[in-house]
Amino acid sequence: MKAVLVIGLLLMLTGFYGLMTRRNMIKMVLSVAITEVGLQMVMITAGFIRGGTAPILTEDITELASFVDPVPQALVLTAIVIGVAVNALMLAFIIRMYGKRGSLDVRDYTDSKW
Amino acid sequence: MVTPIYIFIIALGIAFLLPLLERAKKGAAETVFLAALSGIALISWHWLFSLLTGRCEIGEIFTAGFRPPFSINLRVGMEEAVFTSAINLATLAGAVYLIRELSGRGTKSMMLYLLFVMGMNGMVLTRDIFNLFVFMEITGIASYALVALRLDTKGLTAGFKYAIAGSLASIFMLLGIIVIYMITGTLNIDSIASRMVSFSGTAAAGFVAPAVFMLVFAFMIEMKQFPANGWALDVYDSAAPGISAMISAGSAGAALFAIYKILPIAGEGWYMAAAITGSVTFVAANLIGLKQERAGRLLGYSSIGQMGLLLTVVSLGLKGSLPSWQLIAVGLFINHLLAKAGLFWLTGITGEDRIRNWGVIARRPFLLMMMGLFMAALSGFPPFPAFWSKWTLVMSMFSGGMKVWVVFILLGSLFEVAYLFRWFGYAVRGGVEDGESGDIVKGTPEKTAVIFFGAALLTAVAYYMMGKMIDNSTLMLMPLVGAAGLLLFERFDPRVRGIVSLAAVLYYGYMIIPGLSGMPLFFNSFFLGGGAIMLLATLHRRTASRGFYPMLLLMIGSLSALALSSTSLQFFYAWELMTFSSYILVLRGKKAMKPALLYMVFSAAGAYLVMAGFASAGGTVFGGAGDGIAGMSGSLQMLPFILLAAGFLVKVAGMGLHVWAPGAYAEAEDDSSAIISSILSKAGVLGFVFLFIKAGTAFTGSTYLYSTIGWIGAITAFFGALYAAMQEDAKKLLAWSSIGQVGYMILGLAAMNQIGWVAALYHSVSHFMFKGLLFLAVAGVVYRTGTRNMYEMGGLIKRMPMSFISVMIGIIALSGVPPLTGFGGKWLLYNALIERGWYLQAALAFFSSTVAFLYCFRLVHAIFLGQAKPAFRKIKEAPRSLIAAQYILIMAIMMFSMKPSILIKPIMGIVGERFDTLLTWQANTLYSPFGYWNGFAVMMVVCALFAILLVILLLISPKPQKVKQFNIVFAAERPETPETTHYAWKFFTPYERAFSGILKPAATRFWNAVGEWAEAVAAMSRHIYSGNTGAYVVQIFIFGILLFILSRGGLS
Amino acid sequence: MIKRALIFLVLAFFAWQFLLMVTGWEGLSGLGEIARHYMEKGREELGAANIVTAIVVTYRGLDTLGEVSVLFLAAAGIGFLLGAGRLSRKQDGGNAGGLENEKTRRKASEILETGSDIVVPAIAVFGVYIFVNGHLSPGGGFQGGAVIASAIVLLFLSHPFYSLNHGVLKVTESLSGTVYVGLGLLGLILAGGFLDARFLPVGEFGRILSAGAIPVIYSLIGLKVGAELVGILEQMRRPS
Repeated sequence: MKAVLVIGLLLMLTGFYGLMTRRNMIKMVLSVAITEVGLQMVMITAGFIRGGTAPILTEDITELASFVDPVPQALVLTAIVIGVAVNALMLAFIIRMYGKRGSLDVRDYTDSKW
Repeated sequence: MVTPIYIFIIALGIAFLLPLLERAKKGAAETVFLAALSGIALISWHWLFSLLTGRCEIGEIFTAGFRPPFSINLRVGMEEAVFTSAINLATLAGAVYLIRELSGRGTKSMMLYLLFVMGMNGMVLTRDIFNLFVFMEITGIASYALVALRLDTKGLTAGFKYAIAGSLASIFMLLGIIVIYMITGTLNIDSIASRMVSFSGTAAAGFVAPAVFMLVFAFMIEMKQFPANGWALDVYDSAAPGISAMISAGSAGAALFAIYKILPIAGEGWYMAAAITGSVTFVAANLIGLKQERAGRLLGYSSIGQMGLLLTVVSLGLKGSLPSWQLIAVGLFINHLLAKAGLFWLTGITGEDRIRNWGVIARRPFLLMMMGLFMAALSGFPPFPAFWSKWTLVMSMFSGGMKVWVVFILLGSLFEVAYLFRWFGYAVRGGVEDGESGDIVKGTPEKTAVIFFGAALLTAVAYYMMGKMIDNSTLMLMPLVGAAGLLLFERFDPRVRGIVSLAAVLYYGYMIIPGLSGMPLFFNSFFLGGGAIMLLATLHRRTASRGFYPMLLLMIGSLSALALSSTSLQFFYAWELMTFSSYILVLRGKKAMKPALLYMVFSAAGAYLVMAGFASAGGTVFGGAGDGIAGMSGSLQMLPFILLAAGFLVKVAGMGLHVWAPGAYAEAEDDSSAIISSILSKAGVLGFVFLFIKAGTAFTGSTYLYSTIGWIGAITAFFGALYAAMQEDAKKLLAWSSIGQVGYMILGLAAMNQIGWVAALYHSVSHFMFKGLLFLAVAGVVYRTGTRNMYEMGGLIKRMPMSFISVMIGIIALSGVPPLTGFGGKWLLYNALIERGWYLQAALAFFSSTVAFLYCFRLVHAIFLGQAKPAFRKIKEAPRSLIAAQYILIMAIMMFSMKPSILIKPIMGIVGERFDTLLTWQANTLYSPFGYWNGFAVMMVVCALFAILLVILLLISPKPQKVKQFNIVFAAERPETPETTHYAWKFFTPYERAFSGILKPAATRFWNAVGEWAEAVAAMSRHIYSGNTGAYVVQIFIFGILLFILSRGGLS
Repeated sequence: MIKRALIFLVLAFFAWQFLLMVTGWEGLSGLGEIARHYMEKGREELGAANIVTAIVVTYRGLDTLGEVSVLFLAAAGIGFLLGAGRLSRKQDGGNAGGLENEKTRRKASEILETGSDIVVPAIAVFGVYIFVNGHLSPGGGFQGGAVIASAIVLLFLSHPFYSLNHGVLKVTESLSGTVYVGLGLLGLILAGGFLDARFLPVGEFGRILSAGAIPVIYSLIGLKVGAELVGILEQMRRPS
């Protein structure tokens, strides 16, 4: 399972890199999205138990140890929804800003500073 | 009890329904929206009230019908109730304030606002760490959108930046939360905290530490800590002021509460790191704020600073090294909440972002008053909550040995005072730079009402805290009650207000003085009696003089409270009240913007020194219980003494710390100048008296400390006189003279013997009389001539003979020649110094007295003698009330000169048995070890000599001849400024050249350099806030690294 | 140059932190305290087969309500930002982003149009299935809502000039949310606490109508999420 963890963390680093280096605001939002995907992979990995299956009960299953932890799955659902919501909102900001100034470069929006 | 779940039910139910009301009758959506917010607020107040009155226990609310940790639970304890009540109250008021904007943007903006409020409530109430995250996101997302309420590019950009920063924070938060869940198996904050402890030192620690770091890091971003806070500044700067108010007041408070819940999970190793981060933020934000010219951003810096301070308090409190930290935090928070929101709201009403143009508010006295009130609260002046909090904070820190923290916190506070009052100065005195915005600021009724409501609430909380904190709060409240009462008379004629004030002072004195003895009796008689005489002089006022009498009464009252104080806190409370009221009085002068700011900054610095001094003595220096400094162990005795003495030296304008004084004394309104320099300057003397009484002479380092203070007094006396002689401006001259005269008093007190103290107190009274007299006489002259430059006057003796006599008497008394009171003071002083063996100081004092002749001469010579200017040929005598006050003073001077015993005997009684008795009376003659003085005899002899000389002069002198003015021929040249050819122009230039070596304004230059340096650092540092979102992201990450390093340092 | 160095420093630092996490990571060896409780008692307490759903809808119902609010907030915020007068105010002199969108929008291809006509209803039904069965099988309101929204995206692509009935969308969004809160309130009044699903009978394990109010709540969430996602897409698609 460490592979998923490592991939998730690498995705997060990629997102950090993009967020720090990209000037295009849409790419910055994408960087955030990449980071979030990486994070969600880490979160899912956190609930993994070797040999476990999905935490859905059926009539005949009684051995509890064979399930993975359901809580991180519930949490990751919330995390995904919140991430989507924020990213959508950020894109809406960008659409509106583009309408005002016709630029996607974040350096063109430094009206308030110091 | 109504379960707080209804907060969420109301908010969400209404928010989901609001879109359907879009087409409904106009006003329906607004009504429902405000009703929902009121409902939410009522629930939290209900809890607060029930908890305060003990009607209910802490509320534990389980959702979903399962017990925690299996479901999410909420808690309403005292802390939660206080925070939600405050937040809901502020947001309700904020909604009323914003209702037009919100309504204009449709129901969507109201939904956003409602959920914004709900999110903050959730952040405070929830006990589940992931649920906390969800509520933070709700608050965050609502604020991102609300920041762009005006849909302008600035607001949109700020919203985007906020969203990026918020996303980063939530990413780190989630990473932290998930790992914590992994190792503890729970998400309940209470159970996590107890389980986390067991991980330190185990193998899992290497795995847990990064996660915990990221969790704390996330919350630090939310707390807008330096330097990862550029985005937050842009948000405060760009959002509609009503929204900035809510973000600054509300969501910052909720974030604080959240970190209060999180830090125990992170563990004790993080407390120190968080506290240091907070302090650095506090100092850095306030330092950078110094350079800020725009109101919204200025408030942003201040908000961030306050957050830093609160973080420090909470972290140190959790660490256990700050007793009663809850009180400090709540006081600071509520103070910040209401005052900051109030100022943002005012910004919204004026619609003016550049602080230089805030003169627009000056025409609306009510709004200006509200601004002053919020400024006072934010800067921690009494009686506002921050005052009590800051006092308790500094006391606790000192008792916990955290001296360095105190230095930083007071430094940050000082910066804040500087930029806030710079702004206030512009508002009162600045006028409007570009002519176009000359229109009058006009808020809508609901906005004005909200601001008033905020101020009223702040006052109510202040009253509550004051009752809890200070002994004898009724007595201490009197000055404020008097001032507030006078506000009711604001619409009356100024004379009516003056008479009411006079009556109030006299009645108060009549009630209070008979029950007093000792020093309180002396100083109260002095302050109240002097205040009454000076009030009489103000009755000539014909201008509206808004706020003048309340502030004057407040100042006199606070001086009285100062003299009555029996604990350090009472003393400091009165001291700060006095500082604030006198600052306003100074600021009323036409050109007083800069001098008033200088006065405020130096006074605040002095006050902080005093506070630190009290704190270093454990808060007991002036207390009845402790023995003060003498009772402390040897090694600890010096610090309180030095700090307090330094604070008082600022107040008495001791050389080097005096740079504020000439401007403040001279630039105030003319009658205020008289009051400030004759009465207020004695507050520092009072401070020294109280300090020296408590310190005694038997403590470590006392010998050289007293002699240092003595030397400072002597040097101040000398330079005060010297500078006075070089002035062209009559009021500046008197101002410098006052500085010098107070130097004598300090010198006398520092001698620490009976004669010295009698000399100092006697001289205080004497100085009040002659300096008040001179200032009032000059006020009359300035009132009639319209100028303060002496070379523009001349020959006024014929037009203003009464004033001339006043000045004549005044300078005779001042210069210390027989037969008037000044002589007695000097005689006593020299006796005291010789007795103490301070011959050099005595010589310097004597020399200063000689220099005093130079400027005394000028007052008579340049103003009254010579020829009158054509313009002044027809001017009248000064107004009657001014003259009346002067002649009361003259009578007093005459009486005390003829019969010094009626003043000196009571003073000797008051000085009492503290020192060996050196002075004795035989009939009307005062005996000291070195000689004797009979006031009456001296008076008779001098009068006789004077009469003889006058007769001789009249006999031998030829008939004087009149010369026309300006009948000088210039070689075909017409002087552009004929005044400068006046003989009084630069009269003492030869002396100025002779003394040029020591006349360099070294102190002024030094303090200017300090100011410039601070501004330069601020200007340089603020460039990190480039407005570029990409750069902000990098800063957030760098802050993470710094935080990590800090935490490692804290752990080891 | 300095900036590059700083970026490198930041990445190196976080890589190091992540490395510490990876090397220390041992993974769960068994269920933790609350997870064990959910797995053991979830069935008897709530009667839901899908324990994740039981957690999402009931045990951590407040989170989910918050989550719905977040989505709702984002939709409101987007509606607010992209709402009226988007193009009429170009103070900053930029070009109109949305206008060319209108010009370039053209009719979809035959294949897409026909294909989507067949698939869209099926996808929508599938979405409904997912949220109605959320307590029994993988899936739930959020997933179902997203699937429904994906059907609408397809509709948008295949019929570029298709416009939605905003009234229906709005009413669905509002009512499903309000009823959700109302059901939570019923839990508070009739059962153990706010959002307690057991005010309806737990029923027979494995049935559609079982697990108390969980399927009802999850269906409402599904409707709400679907309506909101569609609303967001519609806002972003709208030229003006």
